[in-house]
This record gives sequence, structure tokens and C-alpha cells, in this order.
Amino acid sequence: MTETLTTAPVTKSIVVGCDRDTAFQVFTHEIGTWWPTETHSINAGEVGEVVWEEREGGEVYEISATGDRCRWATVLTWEPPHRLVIAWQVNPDRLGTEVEVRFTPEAGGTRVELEHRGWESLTDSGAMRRSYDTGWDHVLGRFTARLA
Amino acid sequence: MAALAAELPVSRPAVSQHLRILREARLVTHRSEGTRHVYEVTPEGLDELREWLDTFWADALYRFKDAAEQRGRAR
Repeated sequence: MTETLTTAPVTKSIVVGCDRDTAFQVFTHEIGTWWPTETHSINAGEVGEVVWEEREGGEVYEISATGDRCRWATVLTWEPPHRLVIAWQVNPDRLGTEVEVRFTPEAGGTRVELEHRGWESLTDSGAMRRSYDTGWDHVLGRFTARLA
Repeated sequence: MAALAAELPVSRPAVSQHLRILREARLVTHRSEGTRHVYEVTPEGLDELREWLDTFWADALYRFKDAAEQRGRAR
């Protein structure tokens, strides 16, 4: 019924007025300059830095004002400056949601297409349990955002 | 719930309190299996989650666009 809609990937597309190398660099290496860490982070309002390890298997993590390291995601695919895929809270035996971002040159700049997928894994109750923590990161994130 | 508390950098009572609020909002269901408390996201919860993510990425990408264009001009 509405299940397909409910679990369809979230997709976004935007054109940014700069070259592809810059777009890729700012999205990843300089994520700390645009990510809304004041509301969307584990130590909301007290994030010192966001680090993106630029390789497959690398991690994306925040460092709190007191120096604690909290992981956001793991890099699954690293193809600068074309494409990247990351997984939130990945353990080998645990399903997670994935975010893929593609960068394509276009008149006026670079088209950035984002797809956040993996919702189908949340509908099956067996998979549900395996992806427990992953789903919760988002739910609690929403909760935190509401409080902020 | 223990699994959640172990993963999150907040106390167990805090997780418990958050879960209670999510339950009252009917975004999750709860049942007990022996000593375990099992919470599941409801279909309504998934809808809300997806809607929230959609809005979140729209906002975040606009911020990204601003940052990237500023950086592009500085080059």
C-alpha cells in the first residue's frame, strides 16, 4: 500500500555555482563549514570539528569540545571528484542506511545528486532488529532536533 | 534498549526517557521479551522519519551550496 512510498529513497538534486573539484572538496573535507552541527550532531552545540577520512573504509566523525570522538558514518565508495557512498553506523553484521552523492559538471557549475536509501531494510522485522541502532540514530536525531 | 544505551553517548535513563516520549508520539511500539525491552519503529514512524530526512537534506544541501559557492569565488 503506502509501504513503497514510505521506504522509497530520499533523493535530492541541486546545482552549485562552482567547479566539481571544489564541490567535492567542500562536501567532504570541509563538511564542518556547512553541516548544521549546532542541531544535527551527537554533541549538539559542542562540536569542535568534523573529520572526513578520505578513503574507502575511512570514517566520518565528530570531535566534541572535550575531545570525544563520535562516529557518524563509514566511507563505502570513494571516487573523487565523481561519487561517494557512505553508511551510517556500520558494523559488518548490521544493516544500515546508505547515502550516495554524485557530482556532475553542468552549465553554470556542478550538479550534486544525493540519494539516502536503505528504508526497505527497516520494514522487515528480522532486518529491523539487525538495523536497530541505525534506525534509532535518525529517530533520536529527529528528537534532538525538536528539542533544539 | 540496553543495545541502544551502549551505542549512544548518553545515560541509560536518558535513553529510557527519550523512548517513552517516542512511544507517546506513537513513533515506536514497545514489548517485553523476558528482561529485554524491544522497541520497533511503526509505519507512521517511518513516514515521519522519511519526511524529516527529506527536509533535513534540503536544508543541509542549501547550506552546502552556499559554502561551496563562497569557496569557489575565493579561488
